[in-house]
Amino acid sequence: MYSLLWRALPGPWIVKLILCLILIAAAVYLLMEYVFPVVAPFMPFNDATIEEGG
Amino acid sequence: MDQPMTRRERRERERAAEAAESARTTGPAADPRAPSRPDAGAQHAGTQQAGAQQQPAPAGDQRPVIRPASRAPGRTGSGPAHHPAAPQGSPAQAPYTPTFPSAGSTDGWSTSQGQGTVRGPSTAQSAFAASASAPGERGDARSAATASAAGAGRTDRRRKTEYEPLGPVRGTIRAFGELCITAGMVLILFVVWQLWWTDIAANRDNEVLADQLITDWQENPDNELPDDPDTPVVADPVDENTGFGIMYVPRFGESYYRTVAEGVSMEPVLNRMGVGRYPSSAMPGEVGNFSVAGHRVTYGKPLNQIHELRPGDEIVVQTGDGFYTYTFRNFEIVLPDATEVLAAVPTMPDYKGKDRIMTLTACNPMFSARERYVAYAELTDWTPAGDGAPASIADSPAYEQVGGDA
Repeated sequence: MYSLLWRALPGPWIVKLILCLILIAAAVYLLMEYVFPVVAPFMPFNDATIEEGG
Repeated sequence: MDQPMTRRERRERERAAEAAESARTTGPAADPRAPSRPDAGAQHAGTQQAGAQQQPAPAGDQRPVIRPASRAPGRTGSGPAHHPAAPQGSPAQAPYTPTFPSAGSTDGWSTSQGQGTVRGPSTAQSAFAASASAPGERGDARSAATASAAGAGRTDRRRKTEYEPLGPVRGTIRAFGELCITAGMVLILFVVWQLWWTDIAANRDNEVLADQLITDWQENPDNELPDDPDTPVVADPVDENTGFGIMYVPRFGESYYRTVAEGVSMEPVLNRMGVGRYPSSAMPGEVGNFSVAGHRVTYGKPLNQIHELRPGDEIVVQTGDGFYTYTFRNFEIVLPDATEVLAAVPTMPDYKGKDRIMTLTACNPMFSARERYVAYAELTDWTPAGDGAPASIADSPAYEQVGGDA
């Protein structure tokens, strides 16, 4: 899987490494900015309110 | 070789041994290019002899010709065969290396070649024929001469073929393993985000919102004093998801302050605007129960130390109208659906209270939503905005950081 990615990236290994780091940074950003805030409300340790049926 | 063998090297060696074995057992009839080969027993002895004499690796007559051409591209490539610690095998292997689809090692060939060097030209030819049968099984029937003439293209070909031995089963297993590792990394990242990054983001939002509130209050100084100085001014509720106050709790830290917003929805109030007021409850200073909820962990954890409150601790809520000082009385741990704690007289919903109560709710225990920690406080002091902050927070770093009297 990652070996396929490594081979698909162009250039010498240093360029591949930089591209890989960019891809990792993009994935981390997307996760932290968009995915995790959507998932977080389903986590069982965040509810602080008192409400009916809560 | 004194170096440890990799898996690929071992496979190549085994394959070479098989090829030599098959060539020996099938006999000369199966290989027309080895007509002068002696009997099978002699061939077998020759193989063993070659194994014993591999270390000297005498240079054949082709060495001065082949060596410069074959080593030049080999230096640019990578792999155990080109390791400088293994010089004795390289010259002798060189002519046969290209016939390998996988160029990881040619240890097996050095055996055959060594046999040829020891036994003479005719035996060397038979050994070559035996060795050439292995690539032929894999669909690569190029002759040694053609392959050795390929020269420059050899390096690229080696690099690509290094990945080939991974079959579908092994490839699937590896992909599955990589997916598992990736999922683990994502989970770790989620924990980091939840426990660390949400605090950073919420603290930043807290500062921004507090600055905004202070600025708004300075622009609209409608601090008309009430008729009775002892009766606090009660502001009208603001729109939901809007900040309207700043809460200071000296017990939570010298520099502790959190904004108070309307509503108790996770987004955006509790996650980004400090604590949130239950819309059904009273406003600060109003007769009744001014109830707020806040995270105890994550998202800036405004009520992280709610269990540290001691009777007599002051909770100051600043709004555009003034400072409302509540004094902590007692706490309670209830189930999440115990809405009676939000009543005007807490836990007694049937009564219409006459006291000015403040109720703080947070999850309990930490990192769980099983219960709620409820803290009760009672209004003990009120200061109009024009009179400045009460003494309990006037000199605190939190009040100075917010903007204070500026």
